Amino acid sequence: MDIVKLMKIDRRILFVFIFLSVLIPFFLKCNIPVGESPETEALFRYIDNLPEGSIILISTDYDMASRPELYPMAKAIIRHAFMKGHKIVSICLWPNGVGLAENSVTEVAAKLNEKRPEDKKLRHGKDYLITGYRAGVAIVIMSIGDSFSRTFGTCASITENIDGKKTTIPSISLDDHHRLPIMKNIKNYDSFKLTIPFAAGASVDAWIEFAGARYHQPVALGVTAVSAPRYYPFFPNQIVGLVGGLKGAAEYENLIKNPDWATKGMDAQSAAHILIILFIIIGNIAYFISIKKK
Amino acid sequence: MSPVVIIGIWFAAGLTLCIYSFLYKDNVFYKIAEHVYVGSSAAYITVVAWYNIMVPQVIRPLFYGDVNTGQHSFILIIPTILGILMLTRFSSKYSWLSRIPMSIVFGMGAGMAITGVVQAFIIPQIKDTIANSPVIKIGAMKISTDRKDLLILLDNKDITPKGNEITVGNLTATQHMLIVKESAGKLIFAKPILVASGQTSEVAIEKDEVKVIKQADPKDMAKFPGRKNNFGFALSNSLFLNLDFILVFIGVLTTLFYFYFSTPHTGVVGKLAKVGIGFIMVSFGASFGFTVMARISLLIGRVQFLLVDWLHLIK
Repeated sequence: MDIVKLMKIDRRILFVFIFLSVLIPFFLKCNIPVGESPETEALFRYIDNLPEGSIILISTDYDMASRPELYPMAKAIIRHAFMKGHKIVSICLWPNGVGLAENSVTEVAAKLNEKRPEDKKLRHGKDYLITGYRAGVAIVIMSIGDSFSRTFGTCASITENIDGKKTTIPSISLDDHHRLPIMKNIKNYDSFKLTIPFAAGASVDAWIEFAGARYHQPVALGVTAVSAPRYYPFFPNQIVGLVGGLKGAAEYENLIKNPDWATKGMDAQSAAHILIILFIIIGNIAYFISIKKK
Repeated sequence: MSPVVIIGIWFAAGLTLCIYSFLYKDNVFYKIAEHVYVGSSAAYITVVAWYNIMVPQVIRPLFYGDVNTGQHSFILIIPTILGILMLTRFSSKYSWLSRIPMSIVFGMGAGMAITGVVQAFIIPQIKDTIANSPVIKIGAMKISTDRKDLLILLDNKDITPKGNEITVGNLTATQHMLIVKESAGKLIFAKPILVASGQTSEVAIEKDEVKVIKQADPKDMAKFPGRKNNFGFALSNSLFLNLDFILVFIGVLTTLFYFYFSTPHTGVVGKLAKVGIGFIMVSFGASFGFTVMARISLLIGRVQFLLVDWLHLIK
C-alpha cells in the first residue's frame, strides 16, 4: 500500500477509528494505571489535613458541556471532604450549572447517608449548603469577602433524599441560623478553610485574583483539560492544588480509593490517545515521503 | 425509573446521535438538535435568572420588602433602571442611553482588573520565577524520640536519629510523608506533616505513640513560598530541581526575547528568539495535548451516557 495515499484518507474513517477506540475499552476493562500528579495529590493531602468540621467553599462554574470532565472530580472531592467530616458550601456562578451544583452535593450525600446512622446523616443546612446561582462572577467573588450571607441572601430550594423519599426543602434566609446551623460559622472568606472553583471558563482568573490574592483565601482549582496548562504556573504558591480534566478526576478517585466514572473513562482516554499518536506518526511519515517523491 | 425519566433519556440519546451525525455530513437532524440545544439553553437561563436573580434580588426586596426585616430596598431602583437602559441597545433611537450603564460596567471592570491583574498575576508570577532559584530558604521538621529501635522515613528516605532528636532542614513548604516503623517492620505511624517556609514542624515519638506537636496550618502554608511536593519524587536539592530552575530561567528569558521587537531578530538576539520559539512550541504542544484530552473526554462522557443510561450495556 502506498503510504502517501493515506494523506488523502476520508476523515470520516478516522472518526470511526476514534469512536471504536473509545467504545471498545469500556467492554475490555483494561484498568490502565492512572497514577497521581503532584498537583492533584497536594489538594488531596490539603483536604486530608484540614481539621475536622472545616468548611469548604465550592463553586460550580460550568454547564453540561463540561460535565464529563468536571462533574466526576467535583463528586470525588466532595466525597473526600464529607468522609473527613468537613462541611460543604456550594455556590454557582454559571446559570446553566444550577442543577449540577445541587446534584453533585446531594448525590454524594445521599450515597454516604445509605451507610450512616440517622444522627450522622448528612443534611442540608447542617453539613452542606447550596445557595444557587448569583450573577456577576467577579463581583460575587469579591462580595463574599465582605459578607457571604449578604451576597447570597437565601439558600436554594433543593430536593433532598430523606428516608428514601425525595423531599423539597424551600429557600430559606441565610440569617435563619436555627434552620441553617451551618451559617452560624460563616461570615466571609475567613470562615472557609479552602475554596475550590470547578470551572470551565475565565472565572478561575477571578478566583485567583480576588479570593486568592486579595483575601488570602487558599484556592484549589478543578478545571477542564483545555484550561489546565494555563494554571499550572500558579501551583503551589498561589493555588494549593489543581485537578485538571478527566485524568485529574481519575487521579482523585484513585486517591480516595473510590474508582468511579472518571477512572472507567481513562481506559478509553488512553486508547484514543495512543491512536491519535499513531495517526500523527503515520501522517508525518507520509508527509515526508511525499516531499521526497516530489 | 419513572416514564418521564425514560422519555428524557431516549430524547437525550436521540439528540446526541443527531449531533454526531454532523461528522458524516451536515444534515437536517443535526440542525434540529442544534436549534433545540440553543433554544433550551436560553430558556433555562431565563428561568434560572428569573428565580435566582430577579425575584430574590429585585422584585422581592423592592416590592415586598426584605425577608427578615420587611424593609423595602429602594436603592435597588438605581441598578434596575441601569439594567433596563442596557436593553435600549435594541432601539436605534434610544441606543445612546445604553452607554450610561456600559460606561459604569467598563469603568468598574477596568478598576477591578488593573489592581487584580497586578496583584495576582504580574507580581506573584515574576516573584515565583525569581524565587524558583534552588538556593531558596525553606522549612524544617524536628523529630524527638526516646526509642532507638525505630526506622523513620521522611519522603521515603531513611532518617533514623542517632540521638534523641533530629531536625531535618531544607524541606519544601508543603506536605512531607512521615513513616515510623519498628525495626521488626511493624508500622506505627504514616501521615503527611505540613511544613511552612521558615517554620519548624515538631513530632514526638513516645513508646507506641506518635504525637504531632506542631505543624503548619494549611492556610499559613498557602501564604509561604514553596515548591512541588517532593514525596515520591525526591525533587528537593536534586538535579531535577536545578534543571527545573535552569529550564524556567532560559525559557522565560528567550521567550521574552522573541517578543522584543525593538531590535531586529538577527545575531545573538535572533538566536535567543529562536530558542524562545522552541519553548513557545512546547507550550503550544502541551496545550494541544490537553485540548485533545478534553475533547476525547467529552466523547467519553457521551459514550458512557449511551452505553449506561440508554442501552444499559455496562454498569
